[in-house]
Amino acid sequence: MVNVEERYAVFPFYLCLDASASMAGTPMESVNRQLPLLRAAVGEDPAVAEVIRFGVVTFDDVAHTTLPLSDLSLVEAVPTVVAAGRTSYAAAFDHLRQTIEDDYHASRGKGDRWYRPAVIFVSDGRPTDDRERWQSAHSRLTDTGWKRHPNILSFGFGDADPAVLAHVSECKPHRAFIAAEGAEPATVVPELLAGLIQSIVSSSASVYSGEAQLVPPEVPSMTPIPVDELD
Amino acid sequence: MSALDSVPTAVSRPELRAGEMLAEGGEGRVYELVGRPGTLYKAYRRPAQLAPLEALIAWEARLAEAQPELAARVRAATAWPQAVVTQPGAAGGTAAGLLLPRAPRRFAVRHRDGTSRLATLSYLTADPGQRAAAYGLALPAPVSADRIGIVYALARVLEAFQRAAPPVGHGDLSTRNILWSLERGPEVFLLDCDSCERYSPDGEALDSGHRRRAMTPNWDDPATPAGANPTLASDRYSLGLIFLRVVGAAHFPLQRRQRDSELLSIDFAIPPAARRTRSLLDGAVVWSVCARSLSTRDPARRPAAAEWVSALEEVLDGLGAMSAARAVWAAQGGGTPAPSPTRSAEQAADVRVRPVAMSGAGRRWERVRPPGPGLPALPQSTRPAPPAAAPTRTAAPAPLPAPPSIVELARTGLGRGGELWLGAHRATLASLSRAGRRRRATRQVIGCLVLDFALLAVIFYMCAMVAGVLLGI
Repeated sequence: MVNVEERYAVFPFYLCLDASASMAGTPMESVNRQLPLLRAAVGEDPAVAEVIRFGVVTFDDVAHTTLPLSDLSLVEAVPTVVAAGRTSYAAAFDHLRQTIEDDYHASRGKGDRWYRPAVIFVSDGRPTDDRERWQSAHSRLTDTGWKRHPNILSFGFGDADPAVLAHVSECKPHRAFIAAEGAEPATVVPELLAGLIQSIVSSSASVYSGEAQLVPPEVPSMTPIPVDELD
Repeated sequence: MSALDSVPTAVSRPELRAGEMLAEGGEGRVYELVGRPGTLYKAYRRPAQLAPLEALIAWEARLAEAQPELAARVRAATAWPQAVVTQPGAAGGTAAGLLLPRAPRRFAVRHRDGTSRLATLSYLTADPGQRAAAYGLALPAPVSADRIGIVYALARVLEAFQRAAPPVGHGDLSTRNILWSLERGPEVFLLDCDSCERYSPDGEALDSGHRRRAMTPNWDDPATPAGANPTLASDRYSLGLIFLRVVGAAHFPLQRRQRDSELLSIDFAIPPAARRTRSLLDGAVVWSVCARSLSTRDPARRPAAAEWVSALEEVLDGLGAMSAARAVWAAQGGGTPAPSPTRSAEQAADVRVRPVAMSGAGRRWERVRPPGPGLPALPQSTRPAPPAAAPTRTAAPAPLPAPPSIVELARTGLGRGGELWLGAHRATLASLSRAGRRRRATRQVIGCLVLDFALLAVIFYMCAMVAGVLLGI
C-alpha cells in the first residue's frame, strides 16, 4: 500500500571536521565562508534538500555536534566553527558512532528511512591520541556488525598522514584523498567544500533513481591515496 | 505558401549576442539574449541534428493553421522552439542551438531570503507545511482547487500535444521541466520541449533512432525498459503521477515497486473540507482515470489527456471551483467546458487508487536555529574514552544519553522556579492595574503574599542552618 505518508528514503551526510588549533586561521576561515554556501546550494533546492540530511561534527580534544543532522532547507544558518586544541580522532569516531545511532532512531521515529550514512572526514593533522585508542574507536565506528556503520571518505592536507587516512577509509580504493605537498589550505578547503556540494547534489540524484550511490567529491588539488600505502 | 512549406526560421550564431548564462544542464547551456528580453538561447554541448528540430518548429506552425485553439495552448504554456541556431562552417545538417521563449516572470517563487527561483513542481510535491517552514512560501493545501487547477492546466497542454496531427510526446515531464504559477490562476509552463518527439498515429516515433531521450529518475515511466526512449504513452503515465504528487502534496514513490511488478494499492488522503465532494468519493471517475494512467500492463491503453481534462473539470465543479478552470482558459489558450467524463468500463489490473480520509494533523516542521558564533554548538560532545577502557571495549556505547548531573538539575529547577515566581507577580500587578477585576486581583495578591512568606521562611530556615553551623550552635 502506498499513501501520502510514504517518503523517499534519505541520504545522511556527516561532515566530520578537524577543528584542532592547526586549523585556525585560513583553513577555518575558509570553512566558515564555504559552509553557508553549502547550506544554500543544498537547502534552497527542494529536490536536493528533500532526500539529503546533513550534519557537522567537529573535533579537537573532544568532539561536538556543531550542526545536528538536518534537512538543510530548514536550517537558518550554519554555526561558525572555532579551531582550538589537539586532534583526537578517537573522540571524533566515538562521537560519530553515538550520533549516527541516535540520529537514526530519531529519524525512524519520524518515519524516515535511511540509506547508509556517509562520513566526510577532513583533517589537516595526525591524531594526537595514541594509535590503539583511535584505532579501537575507529573499529567501533566501522564495525560491520553494527548495521548503521557509515561509508567514510577521508580528505587530508597539511600534516595529515596518508597512511592514517587510508586506515580511516578502511583502505577502500578511492575513499581517501590527500592534497599535494605544499598545497595551500586557502585553495584546498574551498575546493573540497565545492566538491562536497557537487557530491551531495549528484548523490541526491541517485537517490531518486532508487539506487543511492555515494558520489565522491571531486577535488582537483587532491589525489586518491593508493591503498597499499598503509604500513 | 503555408507555414509547412516554409523553411523554418534559422538564425546564424554570429547574429546573436548571448548575455548572462541562466542555466547549465547535461544537454547544454541557456543564455539570455542581449536586446531580446523574451527570448533565450540554448547552446548545445555537441551539435544536434537539424532535421528533427526543424520538424518540431514546423509542427507548431502547422498546428497554428490546422487547430489554432490547440496551438494557442502550446504557445501560452510551453517553451516551444522558435528557431534553430546554426554555426557557420559547422557540419551540414547540424544545429548549434535553439531560440526559445523565456518563461514569464510569474513562473517563479520568492524564498524567504528574497531570492527568486523557478517554480518547479518540487515545491508542490511535499507537505506545504514543510515548504512554509523551509522557504517561507504559502502554498495551497492538498486537494485544493489551485493544485487541481495546475494539473488541469497541464492536462490541457498534453491534450493539445496528443490531439495534434502528428501527435507529440514530451517524454520528460519531471519536476524541473514543469513550472507553475498561481498569479493569474493556475498555469503551467513546460520546458525542454526541444526533446519532444513526433509520433505516427500508431505510436511510432517519427524521428527516433538519432537521439537518446532520457527520463528523469523518479519521474520516469516504469513501463519503459532501462535505456529505452520514452513512448507516446509515457506522458500519460506522467500525468497520473503528477496528479498524485501535486494534488496529494506528497512523494508517492511508485516506480521501483512497479518495476518489481508489485500490484499497487494507493491510498489518497482527502482532507475534511473535500470529503463530501461527490467527484472525489470512492468510485468517482478521477480515481479510475488515475489508476489506468499509472498502469504498466498495457501502456497504449492509458487514458488520453482529454479524459483527464473532463475528469478534473468534474472535480473542480464538485468543489465549486469552476473559476479555476475558467482562469486556466483565460490564461492559456482559451477554452469551454469539456464534455462530462464518461466512465470507462476498463479497470487497471495492477493499480488501484482510492480516496481515504486524511488522518491526523500532519507532521510539524520546525526550523533549525544554531547558536551564536563561537559557542560550542550543542551540549552533545564526546570526549575520547579513557585509555584504559578503550582498547578492550568493542561493545556498542550505551544507547541512552547520560542522565543530567545534580548540578544541572538544580540549576534548571531553580531557573524554572524563578520564572514561575516572576510570572505570578507580574500577573498580579497586571490584574491590579486593570479596572473591574478587583476580586481576582485580591485573590492573586493573597496568593503572592502566601508564596512570598513561604519562600522567606524557607530562606530564613536555610540561612539559620548555615549560620548555626558556622557559629557552632
